[in-house]
Amino acid sequence: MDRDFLDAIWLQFETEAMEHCTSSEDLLLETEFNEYEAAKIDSLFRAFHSLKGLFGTVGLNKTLELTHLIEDVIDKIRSLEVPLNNKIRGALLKCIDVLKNIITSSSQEREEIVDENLDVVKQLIVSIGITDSYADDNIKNIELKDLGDPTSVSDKSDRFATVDIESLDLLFNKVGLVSSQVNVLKRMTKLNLDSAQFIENVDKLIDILQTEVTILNQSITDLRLVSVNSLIRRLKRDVFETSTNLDKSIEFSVTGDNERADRTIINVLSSALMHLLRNSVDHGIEKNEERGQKGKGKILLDFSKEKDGLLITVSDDGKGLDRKKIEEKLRQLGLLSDGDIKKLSDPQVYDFIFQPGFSTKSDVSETSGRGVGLDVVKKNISSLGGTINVISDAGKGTKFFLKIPNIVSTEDCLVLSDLKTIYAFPTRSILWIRSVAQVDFQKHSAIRSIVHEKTIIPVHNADDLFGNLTENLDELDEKIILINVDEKAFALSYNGKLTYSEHVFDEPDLLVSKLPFVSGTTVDQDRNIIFRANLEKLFEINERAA
Amino acid sequence: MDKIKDRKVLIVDDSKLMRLLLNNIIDSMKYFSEIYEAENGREALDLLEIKKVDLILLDIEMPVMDGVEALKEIRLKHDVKVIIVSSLAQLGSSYSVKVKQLSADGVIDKPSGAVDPSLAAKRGSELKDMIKALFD
Repeated sequence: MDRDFLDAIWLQFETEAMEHCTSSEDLLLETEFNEYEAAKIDSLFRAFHSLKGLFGTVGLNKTLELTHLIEDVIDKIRSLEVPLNNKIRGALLKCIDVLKNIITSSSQEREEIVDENLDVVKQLIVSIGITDSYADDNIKNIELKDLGDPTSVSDKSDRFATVDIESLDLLFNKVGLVSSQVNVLKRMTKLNLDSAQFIENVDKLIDILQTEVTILNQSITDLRLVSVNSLIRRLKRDVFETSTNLDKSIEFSVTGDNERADRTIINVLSSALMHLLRNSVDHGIEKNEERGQKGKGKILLDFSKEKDGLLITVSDDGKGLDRKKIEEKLRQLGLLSDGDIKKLSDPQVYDFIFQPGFSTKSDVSETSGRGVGLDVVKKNISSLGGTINVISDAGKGTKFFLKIPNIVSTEDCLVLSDLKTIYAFPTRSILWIRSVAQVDFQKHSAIRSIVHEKTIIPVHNADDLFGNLTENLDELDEKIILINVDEKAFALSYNGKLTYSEHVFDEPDLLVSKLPFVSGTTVDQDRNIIFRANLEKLFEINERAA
Repeated sequence: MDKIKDRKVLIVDDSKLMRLLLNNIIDSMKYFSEIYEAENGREALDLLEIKKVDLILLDIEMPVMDGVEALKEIRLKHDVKVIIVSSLAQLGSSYSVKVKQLSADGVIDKPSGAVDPSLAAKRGSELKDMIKALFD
C-alpha cells in the first residue's frame, strides 16, 4: 500500500473530524441553545457519534472511549436527565478543545494528550452531577484499555490554504503571458536591430509586462484573503467564557461574517476584536441585577464592505460611557484644566479612552487584562492603517467603529542584507546614506557622533545592535545611515551590502517579539527571515542616553 | 472472467474517509470493473437511474436520505445485492431490526482499526468474504 494513500486517509480523517468538532462548537456557542431545542441536541449527539466512528475507523481507540463518555453526557442532556447550563456547556467546549488537539497532533503525541486531558472529561462528568468516584471508574477504564499499536504515520505539519480554481487559472495564464514576453525579449537580442528600434521595442514590452505584473500582484493579494468567518468562532468562545466568568447573561450575534480580509489583517484583528468584546462584556454591559427589565445584554459584531476596506462595528446595549468618570480621570492625570474639559464635546471626551493608561474602572479587572487597554487596540488598528472611533449614548449603549483598509500595502524597505539576522528599514524613514568619508563627524566628542538639526546624534554600529555581520566585509567602505521620523533621529553605521525591496510584514510572534528591535517579520524569496526594525525602540536608546 | 469485468459496485456513505477505505478494499479484490460512490441515499437512487450496478455497500446514518429509506426504494425499483455497512448494524440497535425486515443481503460492521500499510488486507477480509459468497 502506498504512502500517498495513507496520507490521504489521515488528511481526510483530520478534515472530517475537525468539521464535526467545529459544528459542535458552533452549536454550543449559539446563544439560544438549550436542552429544549431537541433538533439541535440531536445534531450535537450525531456529531459526537460520527466522531466516535471516525476515531474507531483510524484505530484511535483510547480517544474513541473518551468520546464515548462525552457522548453519554450529551445523551443524558437529550433525554432531559440533566439540564444544559453554562457550566456544562463550558465543560463540553473544553472537551472539544481536547479532541481537536488530539485530531491535529502527530500520531506520537496523541495518546499522551489523551492521558493529560482525562481530567477535563472527568470534570464534565462531575459537572452533570455524577459523583467523583463514578467518574473516576469510567476514566480508569480508558486508561486500562488496550491502545492497539501506535502506528507509524507521517505527520503533516504543513498548514494549508484553500484557493479557488479560478484564481489559480488566472495566475497560471498571467504567468504564461509574462514568460512568453520574456521569450520575445530573448529573441530580440538576437535580431540585428539598430539601437533606436531596439529601445522602442523594449519599451513596448516593458509596458506589456508592467500591466501583467500589476494583475499578477492583484491576484496574489486576492489569494491572501481569508474570510473573517475564521476568527468568529474564537471570538464567540471568548465572549461565552468572559460572560460566564462574570456571571452576565449576554446575547452575542455576528453579522456580515462572509466578508474577507488579508491574512495579516485577520491576525491583528483577532486580538483587537477580542479586547473590544471583552471590554464590552466587562465594562459595557451592566451586571444582571443592574439591567433589570433590559434583560439579556446584547452585543453585536458586524462586518461590512466599504469602498476602500472593511467597516467593523462592535455595539452593546449597556450603560454607555460615563462622561463624568472620564472627566475625573482627566483631572487626575492633570492633562487638561477644568475649563478646557468643560468646553469639550462628548465625542472629544470619549476619544480619551484610547489614551494609554486610561481605564475608568478603578479596579483593574482580570478579564480585560491588566494594563492592556483600548490604547493597545488603537495601536494595533493603526498598524494596519486603520482607524477606531467610539460613539456612546448614556443608558443606551456604546458603539465602536473600526475602519480597516483592504490590503496592507507593501512597504518599500532598505534591507541590511549582510547581517546574520537581516533587518529592514522603511525607506521613508531614511533621510540619507553616506559613506564615512562624506560625513562630518562631531569634533572633540568621546563617542563618534554627527550633528543633525542642531542635535548631537551618536552613531551606533549595526552589528552591535542587531548581531554580527555574515563575514568580515572591511573592504567595503563603511556607510552612515541617518534615520529620521518626525523630530527623532538615529544614526547607524554599517559596512555590508544594502538592497532595496518591497515587503509585507506580519506581526512578530511571541518568540520574536522578545527581540528588542523587531516590529514585524517577513520571509523573502530565498526563505530568509527579515525583521522590520522597530524605530521607536531605536529612538529610545538615544532618549535614555540623553 | 468476462463476467467479473462487467461487475459494478456502488459505495454509499456520507463520510469521504469511509468511501476512501471501502474503495481501497474493493479495489484490492480485483473483482469489480467500476466503483461508483454516492454521499447519501438520494444521490445513490439518482445514480441508479442511469447506471446499473451489481452490488451496493450502504451506510445507514446519512443526511438527506438515510440507508433505511434508500433500501426501501432500492428494493422496489432495482434488482441489486445490498450489503449494509454500518456501526448501527450491530445486533440490538433498533435499526438492525428494520434492516433485517428490509432484507439486506448482508450486514457488516464498518471496517476499523489501525491505519497501516496492510490496511486493506487486515480490515477488509470479512467484507471481501461476504462479497465473494454473494457472487460465487
